Amino acid sequence: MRSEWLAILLTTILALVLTLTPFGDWYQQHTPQWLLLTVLYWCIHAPSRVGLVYAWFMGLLLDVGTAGLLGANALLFAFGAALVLTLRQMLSAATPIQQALFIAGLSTIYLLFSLWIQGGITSSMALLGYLSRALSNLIAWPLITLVFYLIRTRLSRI
Amino acid sequence: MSLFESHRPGITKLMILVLASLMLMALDRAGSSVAMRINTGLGSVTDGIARLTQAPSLWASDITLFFEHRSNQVATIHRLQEENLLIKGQMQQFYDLKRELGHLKTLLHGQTTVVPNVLLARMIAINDSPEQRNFTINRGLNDGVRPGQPVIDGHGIVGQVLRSSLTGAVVIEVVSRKHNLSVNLGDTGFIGLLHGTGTRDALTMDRIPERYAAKVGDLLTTSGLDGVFPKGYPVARISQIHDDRGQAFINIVATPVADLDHLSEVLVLTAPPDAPPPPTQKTQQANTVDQPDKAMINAGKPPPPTHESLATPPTATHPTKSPSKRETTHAQ
Repeated sequence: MRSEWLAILLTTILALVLTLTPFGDWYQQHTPQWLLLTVLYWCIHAPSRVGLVYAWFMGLLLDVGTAGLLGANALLFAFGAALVLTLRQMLSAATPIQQALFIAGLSTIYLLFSLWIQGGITSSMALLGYLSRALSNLIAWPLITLVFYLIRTRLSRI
Repeated sequence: MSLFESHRPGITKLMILVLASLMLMALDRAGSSVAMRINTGLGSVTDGIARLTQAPSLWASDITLFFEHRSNQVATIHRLQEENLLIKGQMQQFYDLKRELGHLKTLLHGQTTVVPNVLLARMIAINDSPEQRNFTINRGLNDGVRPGQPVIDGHGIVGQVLRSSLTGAVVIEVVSRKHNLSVNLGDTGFIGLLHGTGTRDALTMDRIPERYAAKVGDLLTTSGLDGVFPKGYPVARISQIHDDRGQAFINIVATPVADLDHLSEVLVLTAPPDAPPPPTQKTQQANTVDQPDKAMINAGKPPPPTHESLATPPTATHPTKSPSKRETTHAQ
């Protein structure tokens, strides 16, 4: 029981570090949304611990960390988590690839809404570049599933 | 583990959270102190994490310095000593100019320029979004960094502090789409707003009357009218001029002079000289008397070019100001 909390805390901090560390412009633009993926992963695998409030709080933390509009990411995190929790039984029976496709679709909508809240962008090329993060999410999800599974099993043994 | 339990989220809980976020967004847009407090509190956590991740690379650079070859170190020391002497030599001229300028300014409108307090800060995280380009520095409230303070590098204006927490502060760059600042257009005496575009190397300035003969390569310096950036700091150089035949206006594209691509250390002006003083009763009164005529003098600049040519020398020497501060204290 305690090990699961430890795993959740550890992976959350890892996701925050990956989000905030400066690795250069290219990484900054196309990196997966590590924190969102982490929250959704735990929504699927530990729904009794990670729920809406946790997701909302993580969104708020992301807002503060990126100095964006306070509450924007929190709102979208809560909606994303609600959707994933509702469809959890379907999702946890699916393969990681199918899950990844679902997550990529969800994050495309997420990014579009986030853009809408922030107030628009001009050229369509910039929009495609902006949405590339959904594609990164698609690639990152199986990786995250594997790594987090390893972390969970290692920690549950101690 | 619990595949068959349904953990369907409660709609009430979701609605409460949605309302809470909407309220936060509204408060943040309105610039309320509650949003500010949340930013400061949670910002301490995120800035702390950013600072921790940056720590190993700092240790690594310290260790490499320790193992660096003796002759290299000696060479560096010699180079720095020579540079120091050179700067000191140039500074002597600067002191003289400064005295002269102060004298002239007191004759003109009873105001002298003050050398600002600067604080060296290291960049520890980048947090860009399409709307704004930000980065986090490792100095916060404890070092006297407050929202609104200007940030410069060795070449010119970088941006200003957006929010500050106990463990760090977030700086918004001048090239952000959201950022505007008031600048002087070269020697022409035109004062206008310079907008960020969201790309690293372009700032725009629109609708400049054609009679101000702007040229490619002209330097844009801060005008000091916005009350945030002190007067006379270099901001950008004109790179393109869009001259539409049908219009009596020209539009300008400028490249920032600050090296925004390779920032690692920046300077925060913790006591900007031209910033409006804290609103106490005494200063408030002084302000109402002082401010209008200052604005008039600045705004009514176009005709006399002599005034401009007097004001330009300090802009050229400004970038070397940071070492100068320490030099003065040593010399005396």
